[in-house]
Amino acid sequence: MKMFNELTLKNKIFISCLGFTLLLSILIALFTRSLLITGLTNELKKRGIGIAQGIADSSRVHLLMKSQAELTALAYDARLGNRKDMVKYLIISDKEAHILAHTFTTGLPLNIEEIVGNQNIEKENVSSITVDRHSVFHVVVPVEEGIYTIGSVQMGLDKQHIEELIEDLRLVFLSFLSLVTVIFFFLSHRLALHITKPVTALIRHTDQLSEGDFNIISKDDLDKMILETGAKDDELAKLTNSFIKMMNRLKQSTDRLKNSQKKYLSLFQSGPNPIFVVNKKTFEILDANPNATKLFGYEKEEFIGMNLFDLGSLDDRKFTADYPDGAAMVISSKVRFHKKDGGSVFVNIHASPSEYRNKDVVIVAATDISELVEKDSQLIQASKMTNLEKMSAGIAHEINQPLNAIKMGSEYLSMMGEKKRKIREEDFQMVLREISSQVSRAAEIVGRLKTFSRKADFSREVIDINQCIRSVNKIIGRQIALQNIDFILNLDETIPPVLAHNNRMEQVVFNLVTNARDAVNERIETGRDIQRGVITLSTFSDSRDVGFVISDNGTGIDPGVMENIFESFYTTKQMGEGMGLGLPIIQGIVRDYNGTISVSSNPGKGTDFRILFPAHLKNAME
Amino acid sequence: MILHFLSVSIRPGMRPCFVLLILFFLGCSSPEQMEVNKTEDSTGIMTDEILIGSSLALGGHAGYLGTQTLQGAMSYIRHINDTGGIHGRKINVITLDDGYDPARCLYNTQKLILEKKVFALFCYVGTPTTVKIIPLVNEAQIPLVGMFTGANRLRQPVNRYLINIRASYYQETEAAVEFIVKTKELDKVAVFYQYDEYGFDGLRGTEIALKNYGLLPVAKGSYVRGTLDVEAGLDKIRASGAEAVVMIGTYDACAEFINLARERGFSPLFHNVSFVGSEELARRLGPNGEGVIVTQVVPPPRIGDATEPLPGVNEYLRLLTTYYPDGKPSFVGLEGYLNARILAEALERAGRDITREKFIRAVESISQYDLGIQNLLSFGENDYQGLDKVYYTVIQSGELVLFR
Repeated sequence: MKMFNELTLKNKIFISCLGFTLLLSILIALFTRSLLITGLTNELKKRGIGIAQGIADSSRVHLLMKSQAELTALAYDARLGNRKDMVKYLIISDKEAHILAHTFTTGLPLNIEEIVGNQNIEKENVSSITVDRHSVFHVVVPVEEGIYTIGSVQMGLDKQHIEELIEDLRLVFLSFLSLVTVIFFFLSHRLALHITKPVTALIRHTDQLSEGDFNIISKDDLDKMILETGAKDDELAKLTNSFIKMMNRLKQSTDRLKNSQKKYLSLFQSGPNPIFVVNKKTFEILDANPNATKLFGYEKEEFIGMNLFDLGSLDDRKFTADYPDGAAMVISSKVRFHKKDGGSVFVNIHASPSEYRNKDVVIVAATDISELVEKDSQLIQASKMTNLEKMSAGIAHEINQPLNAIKMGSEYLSMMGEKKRKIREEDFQMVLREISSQVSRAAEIVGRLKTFSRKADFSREVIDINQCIRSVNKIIGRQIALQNIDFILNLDETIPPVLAHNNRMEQVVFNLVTNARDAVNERIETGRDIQRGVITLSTFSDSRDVGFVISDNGTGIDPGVMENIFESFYTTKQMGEGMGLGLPIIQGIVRDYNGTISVSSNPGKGTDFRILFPAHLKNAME
Repeated sequence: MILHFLSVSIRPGMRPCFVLLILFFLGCSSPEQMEVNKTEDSTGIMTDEILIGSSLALGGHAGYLGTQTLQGAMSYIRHINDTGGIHGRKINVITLDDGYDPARCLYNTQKLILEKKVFALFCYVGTPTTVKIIPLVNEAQIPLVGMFTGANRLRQPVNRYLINIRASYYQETEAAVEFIVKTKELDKVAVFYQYDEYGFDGLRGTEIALKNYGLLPVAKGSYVRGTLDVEAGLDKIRASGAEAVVMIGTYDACAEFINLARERGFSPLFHNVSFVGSEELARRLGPNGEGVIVTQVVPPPRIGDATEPLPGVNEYLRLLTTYYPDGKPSFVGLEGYLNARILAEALERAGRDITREKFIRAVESISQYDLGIQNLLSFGENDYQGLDKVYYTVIQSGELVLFR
């Protein structure tokens, strides 16, 4: 059976047909043969009995007269002509089973008298015995006169006669079988071929196809294929037609794919941004475009095998998130990547999942924003300068105090010296102490200014928001208070630190506080419905984030304005009073630290700004 | 073609199938049934004696024929025995009377073969009788030499066990018809025949002969063997106005027919075949026999009758007188004598170390054998009839005279 399954379809059909036909023929032959044998045997017996009966009839009178000569003549008559082969012998016996006449010309067989003696001559019967090495049917027919049996006719029917007939038949059958086999050999061969030839042709064409050879779909080839498969209107023709249709579509798809591939290849090659093809699981770089080389300095071969995270700091959590199919996600902005020569660049990372050479990959595009960052930095700086203006009044005020104190003290000492009056020692010491502390205070103020104006360093530090808020309070707190505004701090000391920069965080706080002050002042001036302004700064944290809220009871933000407040150069202030860069810059800074800024306002009543940063927990990456 | 198949179908599964088929083919042929060859049989050959068997009409209505044949044969055989026999063996002829009854003849022959275990059969008389034993002769493969009958069935189909000496009835009737139609220029020919194998044979022969002249028998009459019921046949033939009657019968019925015919004034040309028993016929006819033609297969058994000397006839007459002094020479007797001559010749030629097969081959070797009757005898393969000559005799004054 296994061997059968390993044959080709053609051979399967062929052998099945042939085998079945052969089996059927053999069965028919055997069946017919057995039918014939039974039929012939019965026929022989019937004929024999018929002859014996005839003889019995004729022998009646001679039996009565016991004329052996007549009986012998009768017996021999039974074997005349053609009957000689069938009737092996004929015996006529009397009722005592004595042989009166027989046809054993050359001699009585040894056991014949015994056989004759053993027969029941009262009734017609046939038995199968062997006489003289011949197998015979021994027929016994009684000779009756009235109701009495006066003798019997016993005849031997030669089975060989039938056997010879059957031998002849066997030859005929076998010739027939052979002929059938020969015919069916051809027929089933042709049939198998007819069925499988188109299939074979189709297989050949399919194989060609799977090797990517589409050249077979020329009109000539189509015709040839139809001819080859011999398809006209039958199922094979339909199969061929479907196959041709499928191949056409396949070709179209493949062509489109090729074109698409070309398009994307050219995009990949000539894209203005570095593009990496990165293994989704291992982040191994599988391919890089020429611009990647241009930007980073590594050759393509060097890129391949590098891990994406070798190039720069990335938050891998973003990568492992589930992507909606085909959607590009901004992974990170202002990520620092390292060039081959050690220098660094800032890039925005766009990533989208894809399939590349049967692997799940992420296409990572990096936009070089080093310049942008630089400009950003410069803008921040510029904004700081703007803020500085605002601060200068306050600073001046702040520094004036210590300076005044110092002046007073030194003037006192100078006056005393001029008047040649003796200063008491304790007074002298007090004045000196006072001068020293005021100098310190001034120095502190100056120092804070210095740090404020310094351009930020770009590696993030672990900072405490509370501290930033306190620093800003030191700078501007007094001034606000002088403007009849309550500046309330609700600082939660248990908050975790965040990753940021102190002075920029201070800038954020400072900017928000000044905005709040401006809003409150405006309400007091225009609305005149409050006596005192209140600015509240609270810090808080939850399991993931740390943040602060700054609330004021200023003029609030109109709903129509709300959507524009983070737009660059959008301002509600008069010309010369502000550039409108504050909130955008603050937003930028907040986003840089992966934070969020949200605002809610009650126009005419007040505004809340809510700023959140991810908490810096001990196991987070730097 | 089979090789082509084998080469084409090199698939492993196919070859065994084909081999099987071929074997099948070959295996189906049945083995030939080999008959036990009994022709080298030497049954009946004793140290000093050869047993020969004969069943013939020694009594009954045809008893003359049997006794005459036997007498003629025994004349010669006793002579042979008295002169030392054949290769030191005497010929012992066992005879059984069958009364010209086919059943008895059959029964007798079975006895001769089975019980008496004779070497050969000899000197049978009559057509129905001899024809009846043909199956026995074939089955026992025993030669039968010399039959007093011209039956066609003993000659056709050729059977090497049936060794005929005399010419056939066909030859006799052909000669008769030739004489009647050609010489005598009579074309109204009737046939009177014994209603059995003998009669039918003669009738057939006559019809064949007549056909050659474009004639048909004008009437056919018959009688039952062993009876004298000839009237019905006679009336039929008389009514047809036949000019000649070819008669295939025995002396008793034929004599009755001719006598009655003459009585009723019906005197066509009567012709009889040799089996009729010429002398007895002549005796029974008396003066009515004048002009009745009898065809013969042997020359008349009389000295001085023929134009040339016939030493064979002379010897018959001499030996008959020696062993059967009261016996009367006859055509039938002469036939018997010639039968014995051939039997002895063949036995002689077969040699001491004799078998049935050798005997038959010896018979076949007898060619152009001069029996001394101016009638050369020849056997050969496919020719188991020795003599061919037919003689014309006519009854004149109660004697059968040769003419023509």
